[in-house]
Amino acid sequence: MAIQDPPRPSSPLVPRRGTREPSPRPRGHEIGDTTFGRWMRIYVPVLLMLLVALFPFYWMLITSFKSPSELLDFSQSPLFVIKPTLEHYRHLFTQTNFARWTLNTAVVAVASTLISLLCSILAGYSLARLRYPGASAIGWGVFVTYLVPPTLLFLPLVLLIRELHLFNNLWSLILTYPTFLIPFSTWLLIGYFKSIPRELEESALMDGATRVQALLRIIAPLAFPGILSAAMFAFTLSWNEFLYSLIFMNDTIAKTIPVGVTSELIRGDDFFWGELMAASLLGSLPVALLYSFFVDRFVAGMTAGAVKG
Amino acid sequence: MLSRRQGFYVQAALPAPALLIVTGAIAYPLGLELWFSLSNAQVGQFGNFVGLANYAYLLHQPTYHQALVNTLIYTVATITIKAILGMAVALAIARHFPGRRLVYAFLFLPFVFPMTMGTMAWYYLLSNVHGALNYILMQSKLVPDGVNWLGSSGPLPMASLITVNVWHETGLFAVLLLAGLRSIGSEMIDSARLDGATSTQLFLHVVLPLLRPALVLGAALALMGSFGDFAIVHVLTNGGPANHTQTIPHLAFMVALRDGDVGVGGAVAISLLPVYFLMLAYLLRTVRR
Repeated sequence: MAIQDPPRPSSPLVPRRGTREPSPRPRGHEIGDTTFGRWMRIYVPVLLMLLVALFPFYWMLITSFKSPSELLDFSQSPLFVIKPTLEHYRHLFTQTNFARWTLNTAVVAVASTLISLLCSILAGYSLARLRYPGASAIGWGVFVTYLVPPTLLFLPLVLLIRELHLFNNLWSLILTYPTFLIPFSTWLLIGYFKSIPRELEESALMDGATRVQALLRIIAPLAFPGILSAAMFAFTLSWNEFLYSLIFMNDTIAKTIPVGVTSELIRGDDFFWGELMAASLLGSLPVALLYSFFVDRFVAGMTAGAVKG
Repeated sequence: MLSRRQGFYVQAALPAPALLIVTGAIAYPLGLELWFSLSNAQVGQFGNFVGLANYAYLLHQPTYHQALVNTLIYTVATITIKAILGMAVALAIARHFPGRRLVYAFLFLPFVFPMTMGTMAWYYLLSNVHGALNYILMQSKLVPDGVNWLGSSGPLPMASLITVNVWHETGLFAVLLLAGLRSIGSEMIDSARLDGATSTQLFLHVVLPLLRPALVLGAALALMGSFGDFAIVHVLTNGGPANHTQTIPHLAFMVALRDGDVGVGGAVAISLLPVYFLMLAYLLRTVRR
């Protein structure tokens, strides 16, 4: 049976959360606002917060550019860099396996994100839309599962990975990361799917489309912002994951960035601060870039449950 | 009509992969870890049943007591501070001002930045060998000899852990509360103002009740992050000095994988799960009503 093209809404039907009606007063000035009051209530606190939030990044940046002699020169202020050098960045690629760790991290993050997304879209859609007994209980269970800290349940996974002989194998991470990614992204997507009007797909079902067709051609495009949020969160969580990777990856060339950086750039009591800070910055570049392009998606994903509760 | 019937099976099958993994992610580890905690398992073994011996052993371990207290302090302190600071950030950036979007992005950056890397930077900041914080304190003559942030036996190492955790995750609270604030809408605020409500009354009686869902979600996520934190403790203090900053997840890791005693490590991890679930249930109950 031929299927009509689904109706494409001209404007997004998903209500944009967090937007506020424009006020008739001058931009942002609330009743009773004075210039002094705005300074005390907005600018001073904001500047202080920015200082605290960003100082560690400044510290990483200047440390990564200091020459080894400057790092050890205690007579000089550590807050500035006199002669910036790229030596530590070069060292990372010539003297350490940093490039390999990056590759490992990227492979694991992409693979586990894709697996998790596929499972979560199907499950999220089904739990948000279909009326079968226990759907809301399962949805609730997914949320609670998401809230169980993975750091308390790693021991059984160690045994599993040992039985499968997957130590030092990227598959050990690709298989275990979805255990905390899927509950999270399913929970996030249930909220998005629920915000899409039922009538849209019901009319498609009337016209003879199957559920899968309705999901693929009507719901998925409309829920794309939510899917993007889930994808970015899953990617970020896998990129940053530390404990499982620390346990499963012992070979130098099998490590991911967080584990490689914190284990191989420290020898006993010797901290190679230049390389450490350079690696910390370079190693989080993908996540930071992703974040800077899609900051609204990140925030929308995080707050999806906050408003409705 | 065939497609309809197929449709039913498809519907029923859709959540299967996720349910399988979610069940696997929770039932398998919980069950096996429970077994570990009741056995004398070593690394890579199933071990034999020993009853509650591991728990009885933990009752007499000062290290375990210390980890319990530390986990509680760490969790409660970080959640409280993050909620208050997050509220301050949200209130400050809820209004329009030039550069607001950039400020917003910067304040949220620590949250997406890899926790291990951020903690590494803090380790160096707090270092008493040419660390920035001590340099500033010594230059300003506030503390002539500098402060041993991570190595002293007082409350400083724990305070440092809390600071790093707060730095990392306050953005989460801020963003959640900001979304809540924006959903309130200006009419309600304006009408309360025109009725003569003071700022304090407005905040306590109008804004705060409406922010409850956001606060609860933030607290639940922060509870998971702080209670289950491993990376910050491992990188910053490794539980030291002398277990002064040991927490339950980190102790479970040390006992099970460093000492190889999976049975006792499992008991350490399992022992606090009921408490965790009670706290979580209490939090979530307030939002469901």
